[in-house]
Amino acid sequence: MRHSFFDKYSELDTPIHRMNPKIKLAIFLFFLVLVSFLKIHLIFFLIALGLLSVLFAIARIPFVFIVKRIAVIMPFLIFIIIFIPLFQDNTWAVAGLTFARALLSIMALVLFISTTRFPQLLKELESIGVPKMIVEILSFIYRYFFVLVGELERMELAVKARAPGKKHRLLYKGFSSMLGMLIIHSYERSERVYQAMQLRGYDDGRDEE
Amino acid sequence: MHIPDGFLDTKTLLITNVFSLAWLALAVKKVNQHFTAYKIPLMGVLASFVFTAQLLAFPVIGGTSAHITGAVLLAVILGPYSGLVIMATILLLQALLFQHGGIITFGANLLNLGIVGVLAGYAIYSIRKSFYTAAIAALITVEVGAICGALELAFSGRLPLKAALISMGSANFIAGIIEAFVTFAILQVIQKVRPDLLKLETI
Amino acid sequence: MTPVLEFVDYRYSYPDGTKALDGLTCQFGSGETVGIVGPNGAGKTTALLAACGLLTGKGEVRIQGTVLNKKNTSDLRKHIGFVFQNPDDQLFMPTVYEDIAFGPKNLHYSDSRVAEAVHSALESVELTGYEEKSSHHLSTGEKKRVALATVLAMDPKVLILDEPSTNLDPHSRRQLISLIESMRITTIVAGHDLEMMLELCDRVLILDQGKVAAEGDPEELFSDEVLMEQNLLEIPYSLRQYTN
Repeated sequence: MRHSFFDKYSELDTPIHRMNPKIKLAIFLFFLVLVSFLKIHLIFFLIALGLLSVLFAIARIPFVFIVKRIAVIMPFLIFIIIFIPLFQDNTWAVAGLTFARALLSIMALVLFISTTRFPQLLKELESIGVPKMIVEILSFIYRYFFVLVGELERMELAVKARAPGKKHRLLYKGFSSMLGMLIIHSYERSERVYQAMQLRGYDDGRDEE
Repeated sequence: MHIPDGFLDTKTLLITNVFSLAWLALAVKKVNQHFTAYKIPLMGVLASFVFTAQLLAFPVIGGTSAHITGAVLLAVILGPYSGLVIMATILLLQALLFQHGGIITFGANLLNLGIVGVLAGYAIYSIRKSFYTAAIAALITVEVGAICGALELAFSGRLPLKAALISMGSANFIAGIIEAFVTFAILQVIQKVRPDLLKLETI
Repeated sequence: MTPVLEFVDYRYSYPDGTKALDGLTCQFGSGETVGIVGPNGAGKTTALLAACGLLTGKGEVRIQGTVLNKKNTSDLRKHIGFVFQNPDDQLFMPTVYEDIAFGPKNLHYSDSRVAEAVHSALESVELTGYEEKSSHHLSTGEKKRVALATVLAMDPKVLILDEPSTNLDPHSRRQLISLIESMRITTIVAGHDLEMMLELCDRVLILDQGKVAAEGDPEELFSDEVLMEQNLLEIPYSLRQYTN
């Protein structure tokens, strides 16, 4: 089962990976704020770009992977950059600024997330004041994502097996039914998980059945 | 529409973040007050479901595809505030893991998908609670959310207003229809197989 | 000697009215390994859930002689280590360490005692070194062992295993059987793997329609053709040479 993209490079061992997660997070957030709110000059952009590239190299993150992640925002970026010159005076300045900000932000994001183990990230988020509820939900999403993908894949296979060659129309109906069943399975799973929690002493003061 | 980092200007970022985070703080407070801790596994697993479902591509004409948000579905099943909290969590994770949406633009995206999608969606739904109103709420909020995204970009001087409205509005029109149909269909399946899922305590 | 776990005329019906347990009476003594078999719907899993106080039915469930009631349930159920059939329902934390630590933390152990409990539980299931792994990266066999570790860390008096060998490949199944054999805790195994029960159990109970239909030595019971047929079971292959 492909669980690669989540955790792909976070288990590597480089100075960046080993860096104190609190400091890493602080620097990361500071950088993002800086990039989004300050007017970036070309020089800053080039230096930051160079610095990030060096960090990526130290962290041994493959170039292809970085490009793929950046490509996510490319269509949007190109769309905007085409439009800006059409109506703004300072066309290239704004377009360039947008480009610079978007690129640096996304590179920082990718660097951060591929050098930080997810469970560690959760702990750090909690320590900077993200509400416990949100951290717990993040934890569940991470934990059960692959279980759900597996169920979805099996259901999809079942739908396809019963409609060989048929395309959109049937798949639509199938899609919604699959999702309906998946949400019910999720609900039932949550009941069992709650039971498992109770059996390991989780006590919220609520009355039993 | 998930707006990545770097696309909005300072004033837009400040306004959207303050507005959305205030609502989120309220939602967290309400959920803490109202739900006992046992609802966490439920919220968590349903969040996982919506997160997964958002990744599915629904084929549309011409090789393009649309995605559902599940905003109204969450609002109907768990209520507006818990729905907002879940949506916020999903947006955060999407930004971190897939670079879908950004960290600094979190407020803007939460506005478009959470405040509009979940809260306003719930408001429309509760005018007269039925699967039909849920579907209508889904249709409307997907469009309005997209329009808000367009407004944010225009207000930031990144897109001319008219172009923004037309492109965002039309691109998401079909997405709205799909969301309406799928929301309706899922609610029907739940009603048939496990109707008690629709009778949960909501907040 | 007080039984570690006991059912006295326990009855339970589902919300829709179906009778799941209809006068279940049985005892489990210290150090025993007991098997519970029966066709699906006979009430096996229901009985196990009732043992942990997760259901409210009529009659008594006693843990170490004390009758379970609303007030003492959350305390007493900590003595029971229930391992679910599906480990995905039981492993809900981001790392193996946190999953195993969940129980001890709820018992308000100190941090160092929690760490000790986790490491010793991992050792018991032969998964030392797995602390930082995430459960979705593990194989089914490994997940089952981690699930077992999550309850062992709470130092239970009774281990309840619901269909433990399901979905395991022969090697993992063999590992699990050896593991269960090496434990000194009172163990209840429910399921369909009769061969495994022949190996592990001192005694078996055959449940049918919510109550005990037969009780006794596994080999004796499982060779009884009439009894097995009556309860929609089959004589395990290894015993068939002994019957005609």
